Amino acid sequence: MAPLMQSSQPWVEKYRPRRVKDVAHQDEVVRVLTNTLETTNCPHMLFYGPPGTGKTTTALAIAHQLYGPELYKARVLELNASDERGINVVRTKIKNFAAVAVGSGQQGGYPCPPYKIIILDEADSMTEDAQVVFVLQNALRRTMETIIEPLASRCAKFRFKPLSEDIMSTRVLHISNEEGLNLDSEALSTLSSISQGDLRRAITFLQGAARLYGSSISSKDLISVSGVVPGEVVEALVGACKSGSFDCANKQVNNVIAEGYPVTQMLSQLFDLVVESDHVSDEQKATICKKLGESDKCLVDGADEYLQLLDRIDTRVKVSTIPLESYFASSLRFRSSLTHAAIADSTLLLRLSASASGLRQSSSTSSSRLNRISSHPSDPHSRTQPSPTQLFSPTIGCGGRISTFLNRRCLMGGTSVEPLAQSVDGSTTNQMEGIEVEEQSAPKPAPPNQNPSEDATDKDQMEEEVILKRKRKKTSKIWDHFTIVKGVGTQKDQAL
Amino acid sequence: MLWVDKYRPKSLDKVLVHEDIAQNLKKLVTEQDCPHLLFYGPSGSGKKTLIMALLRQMFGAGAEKVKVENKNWKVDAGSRTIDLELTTLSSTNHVELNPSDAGFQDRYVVQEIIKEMAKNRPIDTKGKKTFKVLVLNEVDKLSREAQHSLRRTMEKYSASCRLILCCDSSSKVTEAVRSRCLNIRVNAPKEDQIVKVLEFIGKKEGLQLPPGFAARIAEKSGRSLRRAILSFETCRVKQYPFTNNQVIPPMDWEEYVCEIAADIMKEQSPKRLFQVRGKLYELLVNCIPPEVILKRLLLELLKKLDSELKHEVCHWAAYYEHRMRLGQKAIFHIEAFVAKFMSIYKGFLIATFG
Repeated sequence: MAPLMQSSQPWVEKYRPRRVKDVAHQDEVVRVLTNTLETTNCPHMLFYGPPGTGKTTTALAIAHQLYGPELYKARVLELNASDERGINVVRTKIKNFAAVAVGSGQQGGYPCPPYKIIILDEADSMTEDAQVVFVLQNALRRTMETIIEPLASRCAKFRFKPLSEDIMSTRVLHISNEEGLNLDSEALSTLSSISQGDLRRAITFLQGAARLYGSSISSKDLISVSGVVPGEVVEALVGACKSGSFDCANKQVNNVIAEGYPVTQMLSQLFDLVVESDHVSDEQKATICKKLGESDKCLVDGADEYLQLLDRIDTRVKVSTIPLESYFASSLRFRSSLTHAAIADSTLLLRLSASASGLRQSSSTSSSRLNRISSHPSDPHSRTQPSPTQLFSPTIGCGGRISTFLNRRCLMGGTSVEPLAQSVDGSTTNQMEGIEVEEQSAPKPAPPNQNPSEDATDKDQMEEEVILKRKRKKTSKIWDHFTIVKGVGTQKDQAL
Repeated sequence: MLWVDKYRPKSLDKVLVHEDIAQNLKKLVTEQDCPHLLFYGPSGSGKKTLIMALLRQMFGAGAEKVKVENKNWKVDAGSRTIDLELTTLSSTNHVELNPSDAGFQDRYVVQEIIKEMAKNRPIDTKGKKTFKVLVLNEVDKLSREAQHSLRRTMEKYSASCRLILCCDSSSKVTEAVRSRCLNIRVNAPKEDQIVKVLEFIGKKEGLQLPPGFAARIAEKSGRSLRRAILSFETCRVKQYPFTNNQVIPPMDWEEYVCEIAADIMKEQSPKRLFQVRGKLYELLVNCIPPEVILKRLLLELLKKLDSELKHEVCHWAAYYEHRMRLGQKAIFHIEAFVAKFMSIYKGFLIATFG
């Protein structure tokens, strides 16, 4: 390729790591895969995790490092959602490709093991029939559930975690040095927070801002490229709601629509604002969040943005005119309101999970409000927290979202969630060295969609361990929350 | 030629409304590595104008020589072949198409046709512009599958092809696609900006504008520049010289909706509901999109309502609009909204006046 072409590539491609060990932040994954590369003994693999964490990059890097540029074309078959991948393709193309055996032997310094690799990018958007293959790579977020059980159990699973702010900053700084950009620390932290653990997003924003605003980039420039609604606009909307005048609120809504701000983004920012607000009681927060969740689902269904926002605004008007009686200023008061809140929560969870399942149906990847959740630092434990998921078993698979809601509430309660994340991370690491290799000797006879997430007993154990740890740690508020919700859950189970 | 087309700015320098965006775009083009772009904003805000001007900036006057083609594709989908017909607008360096026209088969358009186009690199001996541009309209109407298919295409062929996506609301474009593009928000022009444009056109056409006339048009336009210019031209055709109190003709269908709203407010009974249904059918038959009818109806009703009812009515409008998206027959849901409104309003009247 001509040198000119290189420079006109998007930075995301330009700075895509070429070797497995260059992949940022996924230490456990990198460790195992480096080992794999040395021994050239490669199991079937399933990569999953939120977008922009390096799944595709890793898969491509392994293939390149195993075969080198010459044999790559002959040995590797790359299929992604832009290719037709129905059952027929799997039956013919993939089978034909896999049927021809190849010999081993080093070539040009590359190991070239005697097998081929098929990379199935975005495997979760394949039809169910077609999901029967070798190296699997799943590029969508936590939609592990859409990968059918018999397939998942044949693969070593690698979870890619959202990138932490430090790693992201290091990476971004590296690129900005290479490209000769000036980034102050404020801009850097803004970039980390708006991209929410998604490195690809961060790099795209950076490139966009660099193209538009030249080599010195401020945090304002980054916000304007990222599509985040400016704080003033959100404040104005909330202000109009607090004024209690419908016409005033309506005017603001009209303005938001005319200015072209995406309403999903708006809802997400309203959500943040409400959850972190000190002037809204717990119950009100629960009510508002529930409503926001409903709207989000409606928008995913394709409902009109103007009407949805208007409806939400109207709710907020009503809520904010209720006298604010239960500030939780004193801890005593807090305790009692907590119980209420937990009950409110369980309905909210139901709502949220219903909307999450709605999202799943349309396999939405766009509901940013709920997404931010998946990139939350405490993300890991969403998979080890069965009670809400089991409680609402019809809407299984939305565990992440629910847990984040809890996280957010915890944050709101003033306790950091970090220790929780660590403790869960710790337990996972101890047990399985960070990688969850499923070891089911016999395939489960149960229909795959009954409980597609994972083994319930495992989860239970994990949960209990976590609870114990937590109790030991005595991080008061959060755990009260969890146990209360769990209590509600059990009662409900019994009632059922 | 309509004024809307006649006075569409041809280059980024001549843009009257979004000067800042235009300048930024210009900077973007002067650098070699232009990313994929996603333009979003309400209709009539100038997305298309900016895109056309951008293309001209990229490829010179050649970008304006477009030909319309009606192409047929045969897509091999395993067991059967699918025939697709698509209208494209193309010049030597760019192709513009509307993938959502293919309806539920839009996935094949993305998988086969767009990929095919993206693969081929335009030959330029000077080695200057080494990528081609694909302009995709209405990406928000693409199905989820199609949007999924788009994402890897955007990465894989980025060396030879840039995509310019255009849509009304970026909420309906998946995160994965959005994160691969530079998002450009095109907001609706403010009323004073519309006035400025109208005065500019008036000057070019040599018209005498009475004071406040342009402002009135701008106010009626709902911040859509296209609509403002169209109604300006209508006024010109109807009566010139303009008079101070000249009526700016509203759209026929809007008047009709206004009438319906008046009917509903006057009487709330099954008989009236039946009459309203006839009128609603009339609107639907004339191809007014159902959600537009519902929104307009809500607007008209809100004007006449007590403020304590407004919230509730808004809620039900949003509720029925959502159901309308999920359902098949729009008339059921609009009528359900009307019935709901009647019952709420009647209840309110009885409670207040006994």
